[in-house]
Amino acid sequence: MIGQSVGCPTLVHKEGFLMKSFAKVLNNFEKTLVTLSMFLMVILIFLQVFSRYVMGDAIGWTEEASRYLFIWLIFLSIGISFIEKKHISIDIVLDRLPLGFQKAIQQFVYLLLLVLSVFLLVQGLDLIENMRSFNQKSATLQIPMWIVYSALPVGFLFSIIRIIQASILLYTGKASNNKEEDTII
Amino acid sequence: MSSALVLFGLLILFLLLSVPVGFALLLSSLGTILLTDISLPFSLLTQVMITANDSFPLMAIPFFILAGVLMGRGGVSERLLNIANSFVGHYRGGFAIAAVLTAMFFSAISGSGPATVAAIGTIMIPEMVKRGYNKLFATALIAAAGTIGIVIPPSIPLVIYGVSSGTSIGNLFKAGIIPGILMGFALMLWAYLHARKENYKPDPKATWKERFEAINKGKGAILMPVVILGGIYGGIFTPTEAAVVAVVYGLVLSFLVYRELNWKQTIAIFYDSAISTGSIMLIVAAAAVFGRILALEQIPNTVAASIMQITDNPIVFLLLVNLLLLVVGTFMETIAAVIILTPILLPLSAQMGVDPIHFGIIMIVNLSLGFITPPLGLNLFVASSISNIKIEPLSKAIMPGFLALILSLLIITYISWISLVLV
Repeated sequence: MIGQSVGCPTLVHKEGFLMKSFAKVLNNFEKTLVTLSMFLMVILIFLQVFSRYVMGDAIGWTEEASRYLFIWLIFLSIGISFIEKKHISIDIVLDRLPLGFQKAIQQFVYLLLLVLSVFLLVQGLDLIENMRSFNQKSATLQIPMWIVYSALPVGFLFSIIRIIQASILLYTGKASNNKEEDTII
Repeated sequence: MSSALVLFGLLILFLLLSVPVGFALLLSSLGTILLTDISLPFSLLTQVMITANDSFPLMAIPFFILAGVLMGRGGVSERLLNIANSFVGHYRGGFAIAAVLTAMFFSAISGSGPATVAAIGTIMIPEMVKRGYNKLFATALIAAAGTIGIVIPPSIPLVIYGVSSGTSIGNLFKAGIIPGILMGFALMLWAYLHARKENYKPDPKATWKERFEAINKGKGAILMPVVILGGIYGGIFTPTEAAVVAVVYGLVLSFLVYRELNWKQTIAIFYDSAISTGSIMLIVAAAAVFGRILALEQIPNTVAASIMQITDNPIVFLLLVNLLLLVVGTFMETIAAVIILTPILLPLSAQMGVDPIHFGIIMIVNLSLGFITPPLGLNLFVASSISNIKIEPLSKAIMPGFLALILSLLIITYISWISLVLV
């Protein structure tokens, strides 16, 4: 990093700074949303139990609301999981290959996943377009269903960004190495 | 049938390239649509990915993960170990037996096998070594005990099976209790025989006063399964609600009673559990898409017909199913295996007169053994990383435990009473 900034220090520094703060906002964006969804889901369902037994009058909309939060949580966590190395994969073959070969395969896999994510983003947008024209609404809360289904294209949009980020990390080598620990759950 | 070859061929290829399991299922499904004459509208594909997860019962999974992590970090494992050891520590191999008992206790809190290994292994393996146990044996025993994690309720794979088969998750949970205890006993027998052979010294016998003290210190942890199972048993909550109550209980316990968590750590635990959930549910979504293509190609029927040709004897059938599941469990990720295999095997087993709840337990016990068989034994990986032992010697050391568990598998398979008596 220090070596690179010799030619034109201020510019490189600034670009680096911009990139970093962009990444920071992005990191916190998904992180905040999935963590918040998890908290909200706990609160909503606890409220459901509490209202049924303590207040004697069950709240009807908590189940639906928590289910939709769950869907958003799932799709929003796909991208960030590339960086956190949370995706479950089978690395026994890869681990036995020479290092250079490993990198080439990983790069190829990221390319495949990128194509798949772009495909799913496009298909997801199509699906939403369809849902909007039908104007379907959820049973209890009357939320337009396209808002729920938007989780898919949004999730794969983030997936595209994160896959690109992860491929860059392949070369800068800053990816976390605690894979064993991460596959625990 | 040729499209089935393409489908599975692509899946294996992608998995070997270390494509994440969920994406490998999606890519092979998509590849099959493009390469063969199967026609499935793409819009159905994306829709299935969402509807597969639009299920309240499935939401038990994030909360059981969360509750397990909360309890695991809140110092619960030591407390449980102390209770177990105060009761059995004075027998030969008592400490190893206490370790298995602790794993069983912890299984009643956590829904995941590898998580159980991680939570108890970090404490138990060094303690066992301190008492003179062979490190390799200690590591193998803990890895094997982790299989109980998904049999004794709560259990993530049982939730998935319940949703894919349309059977009651509450009943599946009840049915898992005795089979899980049986597996525990089988491992204790192994521990006892090993300790006798190696002539390990037991601890001095604990007094009742010491026992009560240990129980008192760990009562919060022991009460958790009572809350979960009692709530489901008594019809007070659904499994998902019980899981949330367990989360709230775990928060109160580690925040207010044990005071071992602060806000920052709590947020980190919520975040961790959220993305772990995401990676599991992506597999659920992708496996649903994969299953759609299987169904479209009538593969379940073809498999059913060919198995029926081999045998119509339920005993032989169950043996074949066990062999198939053991092989699949060795090579495939558990959740994907449950979603893909349930629609194939369940109708067949119903035809053979096997109860769907009992069948679910057979399936989960089989797949749990996949956690300790290489190449894809997640429990082995976790345990080996805890004690820095290579997979190869560990795989050999675990063989007696594996055989003990196979014996319990056969008993669970052929005596349906063990699973069904509590339902």
